Amino acid sequence: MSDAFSVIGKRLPRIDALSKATGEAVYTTDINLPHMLHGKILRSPHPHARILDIDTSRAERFPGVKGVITWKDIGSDKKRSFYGAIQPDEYPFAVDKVRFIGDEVAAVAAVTEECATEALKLIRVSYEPLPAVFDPEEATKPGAPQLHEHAERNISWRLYQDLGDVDEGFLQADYVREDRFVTGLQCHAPLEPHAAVAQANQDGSLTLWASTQRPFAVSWDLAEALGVAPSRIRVIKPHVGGGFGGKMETSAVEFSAVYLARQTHRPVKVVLTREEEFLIGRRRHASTFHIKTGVKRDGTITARDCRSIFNGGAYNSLGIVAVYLSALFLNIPYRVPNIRYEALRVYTNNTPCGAMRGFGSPQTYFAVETQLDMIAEELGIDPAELRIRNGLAAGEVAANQMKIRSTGFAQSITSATELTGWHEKRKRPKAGQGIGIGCNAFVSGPRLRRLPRHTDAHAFSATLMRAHSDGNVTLLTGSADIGQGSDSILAQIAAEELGIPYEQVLVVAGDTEIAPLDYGTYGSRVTMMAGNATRSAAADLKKKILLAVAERLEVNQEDLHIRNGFVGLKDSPEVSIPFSDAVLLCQKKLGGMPAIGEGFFNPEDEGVLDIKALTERGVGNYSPAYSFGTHVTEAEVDPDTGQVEIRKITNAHDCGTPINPMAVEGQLQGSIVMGHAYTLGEEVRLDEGLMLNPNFLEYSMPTSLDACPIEIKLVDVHDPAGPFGAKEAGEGPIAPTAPAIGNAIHHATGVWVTELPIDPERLLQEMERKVTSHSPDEEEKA
Amino acid sequence: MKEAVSLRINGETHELFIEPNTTLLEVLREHLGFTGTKQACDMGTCGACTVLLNNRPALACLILAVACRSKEIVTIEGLRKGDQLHPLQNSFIEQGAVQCGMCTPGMILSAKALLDERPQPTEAEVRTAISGNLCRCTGYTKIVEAILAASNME
Amino acid sequence: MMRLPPFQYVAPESLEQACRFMEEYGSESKLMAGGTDLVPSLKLGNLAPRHIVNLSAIPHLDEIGFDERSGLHLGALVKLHSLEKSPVILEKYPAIAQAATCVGSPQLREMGTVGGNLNIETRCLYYNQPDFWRAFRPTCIKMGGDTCNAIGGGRKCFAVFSGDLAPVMIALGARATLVSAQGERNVAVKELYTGNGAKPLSMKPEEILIGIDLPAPEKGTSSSYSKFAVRKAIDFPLASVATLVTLDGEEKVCRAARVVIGAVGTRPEEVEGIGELLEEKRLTYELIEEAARLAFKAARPIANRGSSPSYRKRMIEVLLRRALSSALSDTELGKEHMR
Repeated sequence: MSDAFSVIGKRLPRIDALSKATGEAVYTTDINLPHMLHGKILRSPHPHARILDIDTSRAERFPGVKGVITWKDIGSDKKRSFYGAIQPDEYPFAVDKVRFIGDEVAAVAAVTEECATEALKLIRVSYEPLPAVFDPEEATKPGAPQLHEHAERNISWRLYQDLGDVDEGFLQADYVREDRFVTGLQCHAPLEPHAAVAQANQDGSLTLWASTQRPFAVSWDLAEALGVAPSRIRVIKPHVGGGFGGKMETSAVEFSAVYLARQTHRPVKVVLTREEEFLIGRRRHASTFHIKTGVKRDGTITARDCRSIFNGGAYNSLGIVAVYLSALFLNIPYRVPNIRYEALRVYTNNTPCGAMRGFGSPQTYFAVETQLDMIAEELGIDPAELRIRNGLAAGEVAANQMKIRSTGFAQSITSATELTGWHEKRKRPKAGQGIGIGCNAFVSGPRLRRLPRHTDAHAFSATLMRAHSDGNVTLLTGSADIGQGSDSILAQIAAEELGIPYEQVLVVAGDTEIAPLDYGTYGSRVTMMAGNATRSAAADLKKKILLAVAERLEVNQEDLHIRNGFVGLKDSPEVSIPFSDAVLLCQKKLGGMPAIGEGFFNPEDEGVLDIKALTERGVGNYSPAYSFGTHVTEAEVDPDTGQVEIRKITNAHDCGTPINPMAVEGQLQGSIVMGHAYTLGEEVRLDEGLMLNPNFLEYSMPTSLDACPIEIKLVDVHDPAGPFGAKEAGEGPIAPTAPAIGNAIHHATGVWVTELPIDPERLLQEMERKVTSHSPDEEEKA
Repeated sequence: MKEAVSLRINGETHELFIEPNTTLLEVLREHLGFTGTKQACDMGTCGACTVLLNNRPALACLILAVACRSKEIVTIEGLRKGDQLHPLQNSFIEQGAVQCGMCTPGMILSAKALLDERPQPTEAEVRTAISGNLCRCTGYTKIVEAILAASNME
Repeated sequence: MMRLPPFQYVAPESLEQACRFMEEYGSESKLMAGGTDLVPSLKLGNLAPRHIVNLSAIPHLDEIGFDERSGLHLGALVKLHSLEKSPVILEKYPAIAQAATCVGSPQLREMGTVGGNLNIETRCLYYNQPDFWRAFRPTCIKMGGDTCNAIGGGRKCFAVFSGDLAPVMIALGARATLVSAQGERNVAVKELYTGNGAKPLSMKPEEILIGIDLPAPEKGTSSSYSKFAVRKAIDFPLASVATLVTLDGEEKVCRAARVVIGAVGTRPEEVEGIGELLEEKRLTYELIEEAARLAFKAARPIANRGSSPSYRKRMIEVLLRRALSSALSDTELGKEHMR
């Protein structure tokens, strides 16, 4: 497939790699402007308290302080700055209550960071501490402290999915089992913390540089809050040092910078310290899943009944999205004809949980995939075979209406099992070693206009391409490369479509004043959506250019092509016009008008997706295309320490056509190591809502010596929806990591892993219990 | 009380007048504009601020600038020679070892210190050499490959 | 960027100059070499000395010397990186190299020194936090308050001594030379630690540690250091064990045995009873098990670091069992000879 392309499928270096490798690349944290002030945020020391009074007078008088803000300064109409996806519930600064340790209460701008930090200590806040609740099950009980007036029993969201006939489905089952799974918190921990630099102009317009995943969303949120037209707010995304879902929202960091800049009439920079980043960064939800699955003797799933609780923390953030996505992940990659699912997201006085790479899939697939292995063992079926048997095929529609167009699911399983010698190792493992499997599906962006307060008039993504008479082409996109490499992918797509070398495409991205709209980086949407918009813009530009050349040569446009930067006749190699000259011809024909291509992307039938059905019942064809993947993981457990050593993770991932295999591999590897850490090392230690390890020393992100060996196999299955057939690659592979490791541990030790992160002490205890007791399974088999 | 400090950075001398409680990282980023040296934790636990001090890797966030007199400091900006990139920079670019790029400057300098001492390291030696440089994006695989590739280039 | 508190900075160029300064200002000063423990403490607001005395310019404090008679001499300013590479240490005192290799990260080993590592502050999840975080809890004992936040209502400080070199130095019988304007004194490295989590170091305010001396190893002696942590780099130990074992002849009769456990208390502890248990007996796996049990009992961690106290105790037992088993089988520390 990839040989047909000249740029697609090539292992090209990223367009920004050079500037990053030389230290030239500018991140928000690197920006310094003349007369710039430094902003710092005051945070609640209480997990739950009423705010009785905020006295900022002493801080205001502190030498060097130029501005102080609290909720009173956030717009005259508070409602305009009320945030939270699906169900807004939060202001940038606490108004009458604080609901978690770290909740933002005020902010100060001063001539130095040190001065601002000192000034914070002078702000006097009178709190009336209230009883706090940290456990989600406790929070739903009568008598529990109530966090939000609108949320009875502290339920932030309830999703209820009921498809087919679940009771009948269980009756048809030959074997039913019910299991409980628990997962823990995870922090994004990007190397660049949240950062923003705001510059407010006298005419009411504003420029904001922000380390953000969604520059347009930020501009709209600010426009709404300030009562200013969005076009007067310019949000620029410089290079971003990672986001992983944590920089999707307009946060107190951006609000503080903006409001302080407007108040002081000077640029203001706000950067979180690493400890703040850990403390208040919106984490991956901890969850509990009760999952009951019925299967026939041959392993075919007949019914599933599932209940989950997501510990939401103090505000909604993007958490409700994770919850309804979990409902989607219960419906793919396997055929589940009858399913009932109740998910509760519960408010507690912890740091809010929101969006993190995988977005509900790591929790869900941990439960689904571990239980599948339990079922496989009980029925005596090979776990890989069981999964292939139940996999949705191309052309099928899942019970919740998700349409599978292309799927390399079965292929990913056979690839991974072949590469690893699965069958032999399952039958004859070496002492103490185990091999396990885990699978998943993921989305390539939502077919959903998720910006409720903004007009419908825009496309999901639009691209402009401007050709220059020197042969280069500028690609203008509102999409946000946060390190995943999307700008380069767009350049490759544009170059392929146009027929020019990759080096001739210059990308200008993530500047809301210059570029057309894109929703931003999340849900693995950029290649699919901005990629399609880019391809469409490139096609439009090519058409205009070929039209001009055709006129000049007096040939038909269809007889022309562009290859390697030259326009030529398809069947006459002597005719060869450099692209730069062709651009000139085009401009001349247009009377001097620049040669511009326009393209946009809207998913097919996107109006059909019903947000209520999706968010309340998990129903709807969420994405234009779905990716699929398999991990086969080899692990061993140290019998003395309970520590798990991963010998290798082999990941076969169906991302459709890989636009750039090197970039895809890099994303998969990063995703897998993040998944590995979610399973084994990273743990948020809490003491009554306070994180005890908010730093890189005690929050155990893997070092180069801890990261596991990884082998990648790309499954190339063309998807009709994706640009050149491409689908997502950044998020999917994180989800199978935990169950594949757990299933490998079970294979090695006989112990099932049902709780994350894996605690070596408990694993040791379980292993010892296995050795000393005669397990009922063994007796049955005997 | 401020004192006069002369620092040698990337082969050039910079005259400063600073408080003793100023770290080298602050001097580099805030006083001299060498923003290629990154701040990610400010506590010596992530390696993003790695610079070379007399050719050995050191964490700028933990060093007092006043303690650096008469030391040769090299930052990422000092690695290229005119138009020519260091082989490590080239191999990081070519091998796809750069994603968000925040760890990249520190990572390259740690790698340079390794290759200067040990031109043909094993994979284990490479992983040990960069074990103080955290990366959240790549999972380290391509970074290790890039360093090994550079060692074969020299 | 975290701001360090203001201080006066001095960089004496001779030991005499340094001692004179410390005589007068020692009680308001902190000594600095690599700064890898001091600077984070300053940033977090745990310490705010008036003066910082950088010892790095003082000559002759960074030498490694060995002779058969007087043994090994390590200047206090010897870098941890040098310990990893020194041929004489690798040959005769491998446990020192093992311990040095375990410290932090390559950058920290380039910057950190012997003296610095021996004098790091004790650690606790509730103490090693920035100002604003510690303000969320009452002032703890180590910060000058009267309550322990790790143990609700506790009246003693249990901050953990987590240095990698100290257990090895103690097990090998190292002695420290401390100088001041009053003269010199020589103490067993063990004496450097008070056991008080809040004030863990016994050096007097005017004193400067200038060197460590270890006896030449006896024939048949092997020493080891093993560290347990979550990650393979950067982390402080959650449990550590240093051993010194002298085995005689084919029968492997134990002539001398010493075990020091680290990172499970307010100071490294020599495990009592090891000598009585093992000396003048053939070393067997049964005796190793008993020794491991002794170490387990001697470990008294509390929940102020990552990992549960019960697990850390258990790891002490595992580490010692492995260390002694490898001494017995004369192999690299490995898992082959367990159970």
